Amino acid sequence: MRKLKSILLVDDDNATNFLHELVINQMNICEEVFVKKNGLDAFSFIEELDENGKPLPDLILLDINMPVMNGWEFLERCKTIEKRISETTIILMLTTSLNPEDKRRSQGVEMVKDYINKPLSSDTLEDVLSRFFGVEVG
Amino acid sequence: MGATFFSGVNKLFTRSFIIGTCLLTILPCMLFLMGIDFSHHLHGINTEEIRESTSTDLNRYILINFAGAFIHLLLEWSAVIIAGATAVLAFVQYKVTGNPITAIIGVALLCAGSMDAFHALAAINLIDSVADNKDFIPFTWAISRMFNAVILLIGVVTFLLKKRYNRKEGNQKSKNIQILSFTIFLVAIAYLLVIYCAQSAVLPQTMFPDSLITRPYDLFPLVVFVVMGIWLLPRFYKYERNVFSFALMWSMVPAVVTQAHMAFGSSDIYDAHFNISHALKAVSYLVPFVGIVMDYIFRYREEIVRIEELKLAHIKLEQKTKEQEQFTYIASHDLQEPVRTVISFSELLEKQYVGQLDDKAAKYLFFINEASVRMSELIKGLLDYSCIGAEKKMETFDCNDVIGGLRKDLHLVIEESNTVLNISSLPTIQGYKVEVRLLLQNLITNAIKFKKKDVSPVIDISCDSKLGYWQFEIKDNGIGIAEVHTERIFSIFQRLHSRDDYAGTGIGLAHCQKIVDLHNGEIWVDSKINEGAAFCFTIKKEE
Repeated sequence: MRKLKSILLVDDDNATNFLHELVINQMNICEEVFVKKNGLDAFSFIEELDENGKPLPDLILLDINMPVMNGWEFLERCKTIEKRISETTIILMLTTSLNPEDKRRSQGVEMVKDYINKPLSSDTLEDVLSRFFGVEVG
Repeated sequence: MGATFFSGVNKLFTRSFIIGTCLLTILPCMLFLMGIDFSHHLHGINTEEIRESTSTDLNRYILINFAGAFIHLLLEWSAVIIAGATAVLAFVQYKVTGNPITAIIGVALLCAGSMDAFHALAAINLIDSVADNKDFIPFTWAISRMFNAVILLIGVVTFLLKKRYNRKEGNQKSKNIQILSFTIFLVAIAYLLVIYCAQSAVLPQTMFPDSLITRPYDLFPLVVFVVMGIWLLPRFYKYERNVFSFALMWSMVPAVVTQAHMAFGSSDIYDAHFNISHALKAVSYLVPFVGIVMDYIFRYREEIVRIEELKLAHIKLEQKTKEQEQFTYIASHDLQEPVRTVISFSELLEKQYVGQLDDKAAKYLFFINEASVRMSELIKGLLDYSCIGAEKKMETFDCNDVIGGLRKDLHLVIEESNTVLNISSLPTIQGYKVEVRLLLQNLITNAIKFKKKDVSPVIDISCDSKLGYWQFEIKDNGIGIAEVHTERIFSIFQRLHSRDDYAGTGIGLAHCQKIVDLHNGEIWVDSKINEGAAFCFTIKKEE
């Protein structure tokens, strides 16, 4: 089974990140998991990788409500390297409720491929892998 | 009636009104004392002079001679018109406010005006009298003044007696009958008086030029007016606090002075005090007229202010409701995240520590999980409640289609429970389609959920067309609801059964209530324990 190189979790809630990391590791689908607590840290991280010519994360799980810089603002900043991101990275937005407003807004952003409910379950992750990475989990 | 009469603006009005009335009343007397001559004595026609004048001169001569009669007619007729106009306005006000006393006063004024008209027409011989004008004019004046005083007295006294003995007012029909009988009574008396005056060859003498009291018949109305002005009308005003009764009270000032000028001053027809009295009589009708016109103006202004206030209150209410809904939404939205975390980790604990937890720990964990799930459902219910109607769209739709759609969505539940849905032909209505669908869905699922133990649910859905609204009924044969609970079940989170017996958050009917409120309707239930329930709701028909 092909493994992803890396997944970036962007969320300020420790419990959520713990859970997501657990699910990812249990499914054994990627080599590295990065965790950033807000949009600014996440963007600096990505920028650094980009400048050093290193590969960007295959999958970004992006929360909306975060301090310092929230999910929307992060996406705004990413527009500068939008081209590179679209080629290599899938961004998924995560939220606690199916707010139609947020969903509509996310559909307006190219980089965001889907919009799902927290918490991420193994089923959802399987679905994401098969849809965007063509990876079938045994 | 005129509850804001004594606000700041109106204090100015009342003061000016009183001062104006009093000034106008003593003005003629002042002018008289300063030497202005108000008299127009009948010079008498000199046949010699007539023979020697040309025809134009003759016309002038005749007209000058009749100046007194003309002035008299003008003054009287002005009074009659004003009384008539006041009566009309009073009747209109009665129609609008339903206050019978306004109509009674109107009738009294109209009758008094009619007597004055009779007196005026008689004075210029348009109504022919048997007796001589020299007696006729003063006598009819005296009669009409007494009539005026008495009918006002009767009207006001009747009102005060009614108040004292606390008679109930009664409905429109009985009020109309009372007013009509009062009118007939007055008209009958007036008519009899008129006949008597016109047909009597000899009328009592009313003028006594050499005594102090030159016209004693005018004393009786004077006393009545004084009594009305000092005692009865102020009491009347205490009960009927409006501009009209206020003006009526103050109209006694010119009325009394009218009588005084006649009773003590006038010794001949068309002399100064005679004319002054007639002018003041017109003033005493003018005062209530101004009163009723001001009443209309004040009311109109009040209406405008009230409408503005209502508009503002409405806007504020809408704002508050919106704020509250936003608050509920945000609160429940933010509450979900920690609840979700609790659920996730308690599930993790259960999964990862299977077998490692003793019975007690397992039980504690189970309760934690169960409660968190319930909390999550409650929050979701609250969230949904706050969202109801947020994106409502008014459309015209066929309710049968809605039911058809629901049948499909609920077909699993319907089959499992062997539910029978009997739908009578439902109308096409105007409303919020999505919300109405949810409303019907909630009621149907409730009917299925609360079925009797071994009885398949039978649900009858029908709709009645009523005046201005549709009335829907969803009737079931389930376990029913005790009558004491039929109101509170529409409140949020209200449940009548333990969670062991029936699942659910108790928010379904609160949703229904909110949706029905959106449509300006009502929702209620007719039910008895074990006898099923009939849920009814109304939706307003569009014009």
